[in-house]
Amino acid sequence: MSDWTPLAILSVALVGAWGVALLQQAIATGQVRPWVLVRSGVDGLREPLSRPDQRDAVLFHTAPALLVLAAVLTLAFVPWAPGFRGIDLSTGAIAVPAALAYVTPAIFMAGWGAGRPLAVVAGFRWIALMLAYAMPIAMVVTAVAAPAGSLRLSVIVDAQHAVPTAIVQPLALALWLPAASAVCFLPPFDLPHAPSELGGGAFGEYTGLDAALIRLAQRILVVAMSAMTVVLFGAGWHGPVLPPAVWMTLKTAIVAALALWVGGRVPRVQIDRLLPFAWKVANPLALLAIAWAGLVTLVFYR
Amino acid sequence: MVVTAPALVLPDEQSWALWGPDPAELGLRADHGPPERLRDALVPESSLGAAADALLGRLPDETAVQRSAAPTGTVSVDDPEPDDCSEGGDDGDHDMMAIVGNPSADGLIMEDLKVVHGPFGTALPGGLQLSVTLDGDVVRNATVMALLRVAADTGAPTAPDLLAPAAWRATLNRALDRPTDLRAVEHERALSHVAWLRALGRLLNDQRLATAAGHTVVALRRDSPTAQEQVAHLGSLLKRRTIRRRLEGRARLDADTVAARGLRGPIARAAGIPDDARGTDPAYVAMGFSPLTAAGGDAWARAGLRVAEALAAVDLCRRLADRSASTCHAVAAPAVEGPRGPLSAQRIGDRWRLSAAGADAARRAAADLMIGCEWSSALMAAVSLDLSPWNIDAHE
Repeated sequence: MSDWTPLAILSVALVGAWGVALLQQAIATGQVRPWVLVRSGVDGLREPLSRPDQRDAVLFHTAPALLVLAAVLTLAFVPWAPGFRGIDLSTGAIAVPAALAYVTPAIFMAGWGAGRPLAVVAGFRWIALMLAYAMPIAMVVTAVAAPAGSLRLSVIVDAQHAVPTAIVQPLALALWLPAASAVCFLPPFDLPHAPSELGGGAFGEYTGLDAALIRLAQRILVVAMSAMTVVLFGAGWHGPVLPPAVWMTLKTAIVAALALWVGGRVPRVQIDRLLPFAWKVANPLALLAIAWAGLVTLVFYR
Repeated sequence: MVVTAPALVLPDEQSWALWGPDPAELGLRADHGPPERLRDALVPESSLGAAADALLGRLPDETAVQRSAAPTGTVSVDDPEPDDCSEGGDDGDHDMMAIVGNPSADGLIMEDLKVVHGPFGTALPGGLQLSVTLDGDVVRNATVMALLRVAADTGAPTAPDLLAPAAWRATLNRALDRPTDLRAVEHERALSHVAWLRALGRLLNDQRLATAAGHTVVALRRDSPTAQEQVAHLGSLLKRRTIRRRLEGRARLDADTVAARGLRGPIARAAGIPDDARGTDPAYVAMGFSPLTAAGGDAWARAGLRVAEALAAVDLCRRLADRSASTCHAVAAPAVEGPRGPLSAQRIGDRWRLSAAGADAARRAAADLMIGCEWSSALMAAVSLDLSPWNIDAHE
């Protein structure tokens, strides 16, 4: 990691968030109008900060910053190219779920700090959802790392130079994709804010800079989780003709667009059906994915 | 507190559909933010405020709308006192260190959360307010309040429910032995049912359903020849497995319950009871009309029935337009079937006795159905009944 790595990661976060905003606009309206985004962003920032009758103003105003921090930290572990591997830890695959763990308290702080019961309900919903999905996420990462024989993300990418993990471990991919979408609180997993149910939920009271930070954090999370999907399942930067970084960016954009597109076409999941599914179905399936990964590793990767 | 109608009819799908201009045409959509923010949005400078001004000219000048303090449809399981909640918001009275009380069904002791949902910015029509006590995210007590009623007026009668103006106009005209415009009633029924579908789409965050229903509302308002096709398309969207799983078996009201509670209109028909004032109306009988019914009585049956009725209403509109004006303006039936049930009016001297049968029973049923449900399912149960925010029975 060079001295310039933090700056490069921040640049990727901001440019990536801008790209996700354009994708959201294109999918929602069928048009790409960057100036509209700029104008609405500037208008939003001009709004004064919300000062509702919340019980915990410190928690309320700290939550957006913590959410951005968690998102950037997750993104920091993503290896974008052989020459730009972010924070290249030997335990990078496990560090990602650890970084994502900060999303949960951030959203609960937002809900609790707002001081509205429906915002608190949104916070509790989020905790229940993330408790249910933390295990599948961690187990899927373990399963994907098995063939590579390493938790270093760049090694996991290199292990897929011949066959992407998506083909070898489709069950792990099927478990990962909804979990990744849920972590980004994208529809159909937008349970912490669910506009039509919770009146904005955990984020309903935010205005001005706070609201802008929430949007920024969500978009950085989308970039980070899309990139992690490519790293874990899509062979990372590997691809013919084009430079590695271009391949990585293209694949990430495709995954992000897919996640956003699906979110607009599937009704919101119900928490009372999702939780039993997560505990009773997703967790056992994640164990099965680990067993399958072990079998594949023994047969093809030794 | 007397308020103007546009402010109250603005933020919900059905009022938009009936009173227009449609939000899609204006580039607006009904916001679902917190009530406080919606109230802020209704100041004249905002886009919604401008839309309210635009609507003002379309509303009947003589219709004054006021909020009623008297709640209706109150159901309480173990707390006979209504919740003492602040108006239009939630009290936020929670303290993690003071979680005491009786265990919930799951054995956990949870602090009650008191929530007031509405009267603006929800998937329900503007003017409906839910006061709910949550045990965790499960509804323990629920109160459904219709906050709107037309101020008592001994002068010329006006539509007392702004979500069914044509049906009420027809009802009042019949009471005065004047011709009634059945085509307008059927057009309103189609619009109302499709607008309800859009509200359902927004509640479930189903963009395809919400968008398609929005386009269909525009087509219906313009009397577009493609409207029937578009309504049929809504039926196919409704049959998707993702939607069906959300609605099927939820908020069930079987035929016996419907009869015992005095529920009428589409709620009764979705339970298999052919309760439709049009079935005995000579004007409709002459056209070979027979009431549509569905089986099951759950949210899925009610949604399917409304789509089928919207389709039939578009067809009836077309047939009524083809007929001569005298046939179209038929009379001599005691009640008019509105979008939510039968409406009737009786003139007693200088005063009017108005009735929207089953409206209050529906609100009570909604409160009852919500209890024991997780919050999103409870909301879906309330929305599935297509409640009216107008107190008609109280108006005399």
